[in-house]
Amino acid sequence: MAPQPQRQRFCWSNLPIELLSIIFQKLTDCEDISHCAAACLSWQLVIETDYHLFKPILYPFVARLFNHNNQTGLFLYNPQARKLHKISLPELNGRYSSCSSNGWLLTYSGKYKPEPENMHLINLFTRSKIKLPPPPKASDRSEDCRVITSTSPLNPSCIFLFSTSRCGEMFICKHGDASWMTMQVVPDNPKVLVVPAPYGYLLCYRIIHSRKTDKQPVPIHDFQRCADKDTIFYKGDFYCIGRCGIIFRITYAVDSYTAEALPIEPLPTWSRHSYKIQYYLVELNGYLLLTSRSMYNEFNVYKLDLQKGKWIAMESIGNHVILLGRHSSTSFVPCKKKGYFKPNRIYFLDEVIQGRSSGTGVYNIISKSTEPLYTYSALSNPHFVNPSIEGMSHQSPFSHKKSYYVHLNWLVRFKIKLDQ
Amino acid sequence: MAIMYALKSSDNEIFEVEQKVIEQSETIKKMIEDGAATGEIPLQVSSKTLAKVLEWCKQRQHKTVENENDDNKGKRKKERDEDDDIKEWENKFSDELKADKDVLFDLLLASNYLDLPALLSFLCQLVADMVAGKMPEEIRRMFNIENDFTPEEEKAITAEHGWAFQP
Repeated sequence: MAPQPQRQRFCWSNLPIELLSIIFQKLTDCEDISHCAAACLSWQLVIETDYHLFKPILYPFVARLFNHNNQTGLFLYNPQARKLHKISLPELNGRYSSCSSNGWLLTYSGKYKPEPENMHLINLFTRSKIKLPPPPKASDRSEDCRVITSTSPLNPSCIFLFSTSRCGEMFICKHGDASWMTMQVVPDNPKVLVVPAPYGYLLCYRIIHSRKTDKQPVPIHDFQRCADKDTIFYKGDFYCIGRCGIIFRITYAVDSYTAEALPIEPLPTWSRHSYKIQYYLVELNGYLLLTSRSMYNEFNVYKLDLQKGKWIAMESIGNHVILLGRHSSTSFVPCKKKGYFKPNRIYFLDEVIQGRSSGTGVYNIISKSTEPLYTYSALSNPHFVNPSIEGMSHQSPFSHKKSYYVHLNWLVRFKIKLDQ
Repeated sequence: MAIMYALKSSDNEIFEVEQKVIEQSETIKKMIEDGAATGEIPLQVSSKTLAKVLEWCKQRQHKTVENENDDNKGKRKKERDEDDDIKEWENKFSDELKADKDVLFDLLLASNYLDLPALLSFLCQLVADMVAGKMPEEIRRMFNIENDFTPEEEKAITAEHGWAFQP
């Protein structure tokens, strides 16, 4: 390297902020941005103000919790930069945790069952904590509990949906509620009949019109098991798809929540193969999509057409990308240049389907082929965390800037790890 | 016959430049259109920096003129050669700037002031490439930045479990 001829006159802290912002926007690695944020106050301020413009941090991570040698925390793998980051979260020590909606983690004490107190949502990046009412029923294995939120949990109008996968029960609460509320099921529907059964169960019947059995109600499953497959918050309501293939809409109406079966014909493959196939609900471009994944990683994408009462098969998802994850699937439009994520593809992570580990990869919707997705070999049971979606996909009263603070906190946090 | 303009730097040096070259700058183009450019055009740019700006503009101008005169025959090969030439030129240009960061700093300001988006983008990419992979302390040294975090802030950043910004 050439020796410096003389001492520099200009201090680069004083470069105008608009120029600094353009420079930082050219950075492609989140580490570089975090290093710049740690250089001086004025650089930090630019990054704090403009970081929604910085590409690398707008990419999803693959997250995996770890717990060994009394150390708890999270591995975040950034596929864009092909880097693995370790974040220590001592708050999780001795507690159960499961990935919740984007960037938030559900955590509670109790080794085998959630204990009455101490159920929280915690933000992985900011460590903001939201206290939740005690678990409604401690019958489930703890790791099966999930909380799906309508917006960012920091939003005072956020609605929380508590789901226990094994028993498939669902409960709802708002901010400030002391307990979870059960749902009322609207029984009337031309295609689905829901009737109460003993022990508080509700049974779903599908009404099939055929020559042999005229208007014969066929039992399909109880509503409580419907949360088993997937849940999403879409356009103001929660939607869940059950083992029965029926999609329910959960709405809030005058101090009660009602679950209503939508008159949508289940997919033809449903009845025969439902146990072999995992279904994911995902919002894409304002539509509600259903992605099916077989245990051999064959994928199909369907779009909900409420008027026709059908799921319509889609040949392409255009320039979008779908990231699959139970109760947490998202879609986004990747950056055209240099991006790790390529359009019209489904990114899927390892999951147990029908007792079998299903693997990780990228499915190309056009060529119907699967490519390997390099994540990180130690990342088993991973989840996609898409911090950029937080506060963006839903109309949150918080400005966008608020949600980007999440990134910054993470970046600064991140810097700590690197400097140590 | 090319129209020539005289640009005057902040330290009163005169640069004679063709109109086509200097019209790449939106700022100067506007000054010419507004009729403010009779005689010398005074610019708030030092002669050292202005020389660099003009070096860039001439290179760009050269490139566009040649492209216009091209016929299709042999264009591919020529383009490829040209690309190599431009790359070589850009590398040399970048190396000079990397060696003298004061000029780089000033050139960034000038490209913004003169409204030369291509140059601005090129320079910002250059700085970004310089920053990439460096630790905060290295960045400070490279760009003559003083660590102006208070001890409390530093502590907040480096504390084991501390978060610098709580929402």
